[in-house]
Amino acid sequence: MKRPTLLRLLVVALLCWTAAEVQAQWTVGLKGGITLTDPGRTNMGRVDETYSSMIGVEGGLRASYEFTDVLSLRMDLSYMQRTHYMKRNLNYLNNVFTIYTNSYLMLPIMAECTLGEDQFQVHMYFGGYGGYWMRAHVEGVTYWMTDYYINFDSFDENREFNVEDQRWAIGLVGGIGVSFDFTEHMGVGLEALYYYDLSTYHKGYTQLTDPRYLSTLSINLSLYYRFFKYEQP
Amino acid sequence: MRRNIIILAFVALIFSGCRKEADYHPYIGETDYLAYDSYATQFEYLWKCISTGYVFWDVEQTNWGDVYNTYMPKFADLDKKRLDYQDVTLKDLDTLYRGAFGGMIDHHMAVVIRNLFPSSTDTVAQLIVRPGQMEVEKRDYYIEPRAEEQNHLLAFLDGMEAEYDIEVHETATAPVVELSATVTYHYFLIKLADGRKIPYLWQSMAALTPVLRDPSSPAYELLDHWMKAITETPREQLAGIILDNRANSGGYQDDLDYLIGTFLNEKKEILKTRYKEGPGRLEYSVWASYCIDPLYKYHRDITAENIPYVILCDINSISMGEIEPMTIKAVLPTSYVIGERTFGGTGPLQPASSIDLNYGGPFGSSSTMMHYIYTSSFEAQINGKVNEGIGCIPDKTVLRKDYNGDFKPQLDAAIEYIRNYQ
Repeated sequence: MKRPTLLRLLVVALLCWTAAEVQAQWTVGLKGGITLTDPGRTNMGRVDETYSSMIGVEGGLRASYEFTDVLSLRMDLSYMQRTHYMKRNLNYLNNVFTIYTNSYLMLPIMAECTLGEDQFQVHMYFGGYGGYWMRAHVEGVTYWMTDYYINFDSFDENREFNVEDQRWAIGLVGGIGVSFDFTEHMGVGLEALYYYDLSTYHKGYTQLTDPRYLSTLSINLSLYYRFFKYEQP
Repeated sequence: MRRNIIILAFVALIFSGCRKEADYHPYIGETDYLAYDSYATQFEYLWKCISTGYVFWDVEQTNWGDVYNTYMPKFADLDKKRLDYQDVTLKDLDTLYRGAFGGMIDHHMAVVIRNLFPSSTDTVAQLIVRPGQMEVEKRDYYIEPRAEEQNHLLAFLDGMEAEYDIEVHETATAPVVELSATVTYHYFLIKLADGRKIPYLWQSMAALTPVLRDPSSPAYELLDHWMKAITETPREQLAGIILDNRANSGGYQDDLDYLIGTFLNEKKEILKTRYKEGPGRLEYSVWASYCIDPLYKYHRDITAENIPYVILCDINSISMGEIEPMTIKAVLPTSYVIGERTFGGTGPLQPASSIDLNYGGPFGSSSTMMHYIYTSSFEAQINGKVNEGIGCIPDKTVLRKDYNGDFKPQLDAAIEYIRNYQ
C-alpha cells in the first residue's frame, strides 16, 4: 500500500508544480456579445424570397497562453447564435417570414498579436475554428391555402436536422480587440471577430450543388483574469 | 508587424477562394429557363425542376441522383440518333420517361411530354406517364380505370330504386369551370324497414363548394336538400348519413367546410400542410396547421347526437375523394369508412398559375409548351403521417373484386352498419 500512495503523492506534486509553472502564462475569462450573420445564400431565382442578416447572441469562455509579450495563443469555447432571416414579398404572402436561429458550439484557435505595453493594449487575431451546429430553431409565419383562401399560421419551434444539413463547420477567423487591465490580474476586453466558414451548412447533391457559407461578425465584451502579474514597464 | 499583417491578409484571400459557387437551380417551373433544344436538355430541365420543387422527397423511394445518371446518357443517345437523321418517336421517349418517372410516389403526378422533333410515325401528339396509375394497376384488388368505373357506378345508381326503399331520388349535373368538368350528383333518401332514413350523396367529383355558393347552379337544390336532410331531420327519424366517394376524382378542399365544419362546435385542426421553402430537396416550410371552423349555414352536432356518418371509398377515390374520408375519420368520432384502400394521391394542389406562390405544384402547359408536369403543390400529413401512395385505409374493407365488380355489397355494408349502430 505504501508504494502506490507515495507514487500518487509524487504525481500530484508534479502536476501541481507543472500547473503552477504553466498557469503562470495563462489568461482565462468569460465573454459575451452579439453576432451578425450573413446567410451566404441566394434565393435561387425565387424572386420574392429575400434573405438577410440578423443579430444573435454569443457567450462563452476565453483562454490565452502567452509565449512572448507580443505573441500568444488564444482559444475560445462559445455558444454562438448564427441567425438569419427570410421574408417573402409577394402581395398575398408578404407577411410570411422565417427567422432561422442556428446555434453553434464554436472553438476558435488563433494567434494573438499584442501591441502596447501599458494597461491599454491592442490585439490582433488570426486563426481557424471548428464548430458544431447544435440547434436549429425557426420562428415566423407560414401559410396554407384552400381553393378560396390563404391562411396564415405562426410558428416557433426547433427544426429537426436532416441529411442535407452539414452540422460540422470549419473556417477562418480573424479580428481586432482592445483590452484594459484595471488590476494587476484582471481586465476587460472588447473585440470584433469575423468568422468565415469554409464548409457549407447545406450539403446539396452531386448533380445540383448548392453550397451555403455562413459569415459571422462577433462583437463581444470579456472579463479576464491573468494568472501572472501584469507588470508596469 | 506590417509584413505579418500583409502575409495574413494574403493567406485569408487564398482561403476565401475555397468557397464553391452554387450551380444555378431553376426553381420548379421557372419560365426564363424554358428554352431547350435537345431531348437531353429537356430532361435535365425537368429533372432539376422536380429536384427543387417536388414535395415528397422525405417519403420518396426513387433515387433521383441515380435517375439522372441512368437517363441523361440515354436522352443524349436520342439526340445523337436524331442528328444521324433517324426518327425519334414518342414511343422512344415514352420508354425513357416511364423509366425515369414511373416510380415516383406522387399519385397525382402526370408527366406530359410533346416530341421536340415530331416523327412522321407518331400517331398522337404527346405522351403521358402517370406513376400513381402505374402503381395502382398492380394492386390485387384493381378492377378498372376510374372513367370506366364511373360509368358502371352511374348505371348502378340509376338502378338503385329497384334495389332499395328510396323515398327521394334527385340527380343533377353542374358545370364547374375551375375543374374544367361537368359534375354529376345523385341524392337518395334511403328508407330503412323501421322507417328511419339515410340521406345518401354521390358526386363524380368533390364539388360541393362551387354549387352551394351559387344558388343559381343546377345542382344547388339537390345539395341543399341533402344538407338539410342531414341537419334538419329529427334524430329519431335519422338513422345515419352516407357520403359515397367511390370513383370520386377529387376537387375542392373547401368542401371540408360542409363535410366537417357543419358538424363541429369549435375550430379543429384536420391536417397539416407544408410547401417547398427552398431548393434543397428536404428544405420545407414548417408544417402549417390546416383548421376548419364550425359552419352554421347548415349545422348539427352529430357527435353529441351519436349519428353514424359512413363514407364509402374505393381504389378510384382520388385526391379530395380520399382526403375527405381520411380527415372526417380523424376528426368526427361517429364516422366510419367502408370500402377499399384508396388511390393514394393526398397532396393538395393549386393551379400552375400559383407556382410562384408555392414553388411546387403543376408547371408547364400541354398546349403551349413541350411539357406539362402535374404534381402536388403541398405535402399533407393526417394524424401525424404522410399518406401519399397509401391513401385512406377503410375501417371495414369490402372489395368489389370479391363480388365480380358489383357496387352493391359496399353500400349494403354501409346500410347494415348504420342499421345496427348503437
